[in-house]
Amino acid sequence: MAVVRGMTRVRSQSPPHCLSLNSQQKCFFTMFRNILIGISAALILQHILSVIYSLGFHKRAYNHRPGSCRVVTGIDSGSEDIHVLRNGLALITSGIDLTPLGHLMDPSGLTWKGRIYLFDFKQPNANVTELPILGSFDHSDFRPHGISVWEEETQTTVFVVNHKQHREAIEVLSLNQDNKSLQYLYSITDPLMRSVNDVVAVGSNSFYFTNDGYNNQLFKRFLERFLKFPWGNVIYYDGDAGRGQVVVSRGLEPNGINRSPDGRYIYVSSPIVGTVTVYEQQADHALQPIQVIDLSTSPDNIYVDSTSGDLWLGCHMIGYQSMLHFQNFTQPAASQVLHIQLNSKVAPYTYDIREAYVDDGRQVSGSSVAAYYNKQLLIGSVAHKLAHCQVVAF
Amino acid sequence: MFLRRLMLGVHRHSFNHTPGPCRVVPGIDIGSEDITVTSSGLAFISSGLKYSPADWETESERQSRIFTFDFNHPERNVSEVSIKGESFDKEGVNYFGLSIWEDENTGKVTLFVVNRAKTKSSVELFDYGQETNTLVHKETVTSENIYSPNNVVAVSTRSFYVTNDSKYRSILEIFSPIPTGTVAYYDGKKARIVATGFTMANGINQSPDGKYVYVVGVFDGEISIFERNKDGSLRLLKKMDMHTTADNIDVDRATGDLWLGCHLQPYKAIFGGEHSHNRGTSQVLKVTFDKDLNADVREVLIDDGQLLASGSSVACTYGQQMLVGTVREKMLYCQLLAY
Repeated sequence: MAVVRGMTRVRSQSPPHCLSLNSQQKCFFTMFRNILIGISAALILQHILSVIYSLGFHKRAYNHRPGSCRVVTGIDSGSEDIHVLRNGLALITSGIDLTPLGHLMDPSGLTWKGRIYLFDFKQPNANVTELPILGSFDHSDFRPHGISVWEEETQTTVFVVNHKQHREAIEVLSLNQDNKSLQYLYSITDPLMRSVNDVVAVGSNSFYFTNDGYNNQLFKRFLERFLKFPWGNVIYYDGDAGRGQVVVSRGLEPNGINRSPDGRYIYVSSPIVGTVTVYEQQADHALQPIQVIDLSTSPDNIYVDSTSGDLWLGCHMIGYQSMLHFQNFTQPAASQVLHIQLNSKVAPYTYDIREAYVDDGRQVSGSSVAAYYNKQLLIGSVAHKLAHCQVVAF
Repeated sequence: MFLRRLMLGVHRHSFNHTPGPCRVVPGIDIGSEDITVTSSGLAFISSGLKYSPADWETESERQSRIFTFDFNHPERNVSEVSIKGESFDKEGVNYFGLSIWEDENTGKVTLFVVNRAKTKSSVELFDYGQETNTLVHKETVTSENIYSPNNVVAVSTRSFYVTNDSKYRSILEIFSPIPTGTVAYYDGKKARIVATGFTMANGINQSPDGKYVYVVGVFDGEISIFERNKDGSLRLLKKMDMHTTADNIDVDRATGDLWLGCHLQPYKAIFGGEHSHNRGTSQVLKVTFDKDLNADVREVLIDDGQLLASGSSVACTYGQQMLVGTVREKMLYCQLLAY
């Protein structure tokens, strides 16, 4: 009885919860912490959902072709980038290494030998031939990615992105069209070459290139991509000065880069964001952003038709399929080619986007580039085959 | 499946492409919901469909008519057919699906027309007179099992399969977990239900040899492939997911290929305003079967409103030519060069 009475007395003397100054502070802190936890959880969830959405599980590839298409035999280790000369000769890079880009790669791809192939648009039924690289070039350390060519009367200079084992480089070669060979000139390395993706020549000794990220080791790069750190950039390299300068300082995985036929504009793609950004080249080679073209797909390399100025994009239509394909080359990944018809001569452009080609991966998996020449398309892939199409209607 | 139906295509995105030059066919403005073509290239087009009470309120502006288009002379565009016959009740006509039966011996063309008139639904049978571009009414088929007809496929001079798209004619039936669409078979005397379980059963057609019947439930996004039994009943062989919102089915009589008019983003048609520029994305798919009924699907056309303001409901081919129809809008003519 006394015990019961005592307990009652103790309870009645205790102030209600959160009324005292000290308790009120604690309560406020607890509530604030809960709100903070809630907001953090919501942001994390939103991030994860946006990553899942960008993988494209909701997408479906319905096959269609702009004309008759065939696989060009002779290439089985990718045809990641293509450049077409004025005379219809196409240079194709093959044998990319995907691990510096944060992708698990099929083991058979780890031992690929890098090559540059040649396809002649004026002989559309022929296949590709390999271009030998002459000179003191280290063939065992050649894993090419983007490619660009600068044509002059005296010399056709070829710039090739190379993921060397221990550093990034851009190899400078000279094309000998008579005997169909490449003469190695020199390698360009620079501290600003972090993870080079594509290159576009703007002179015989100068170019822009994209760094698609900051890290070039598998796990670090995967984290950078998953957490969407915008640490890619675009660099202008001046060969005379022997150094690069940052011209676009932040980007989420800038990939393809190319220029308008008059040299006034530079185009940069971002597959993760799903855009092509139009920059105007300034007198000091800086790039002024003019326009962003939203695509709702993942554009990789940009090809510019030298006649019309139109853009052709090799796209990864369904992101998760491409990722699985890189891990196992027998897994098909959808391929997509878009054509952006520019309806004005000056940016910001009015444009019309059309879809020229879609394949569910059984013909070409994981398309990365589409080169157009005289009503023909050459469709290259990151790690798969090369297709040639007649362009009749799309 | 239920969740996907709820989405009504909101998640779908597309880029335009066409199989060749395309043009809008003058003379059709209020629908070309179904199109069917004879072996000689004469296409019949139903127009002026009325589906909702709002449509009936503007009945005078949405007169149901049937047009012809001659694939052998595409430059002539369309002609309206005359409909004759004392036995035909023209009050409140409302044409939906069409089907043709050509008598191999006499060459006579019979047109089967779904008529969801104001007060009753029926399948009308007409004989076509080519010289006068006239449909002469022969028979009206009504049945308690033909209660919400959408499309029809003729399998003999006087027998056909018809889809009933819903039970209560309410858009809310799309969201019902129990699908209410059915298929009825009319054997020349009476109609009976031979297949059930579709969400808004719509397109129906048969293979050129008459062995298979194909049925689309619009919001199932599937083609159901049935084998026909001798007594007209249907045995389900296969369901094929199209991953889109398919509407009517045309069968190429030379190849047996299916041509589907699809609404890629049906939410635009359902929720979009009457005067918005883009009220649906048109999609045409071509389905080719191997002998084991495995499908190869080609996307022949995507248009987000540049050519057709609302989504396509039918694609009808003849040789290297195609007509694309819509529920309540214009009609497109395309050459088939590459796809």
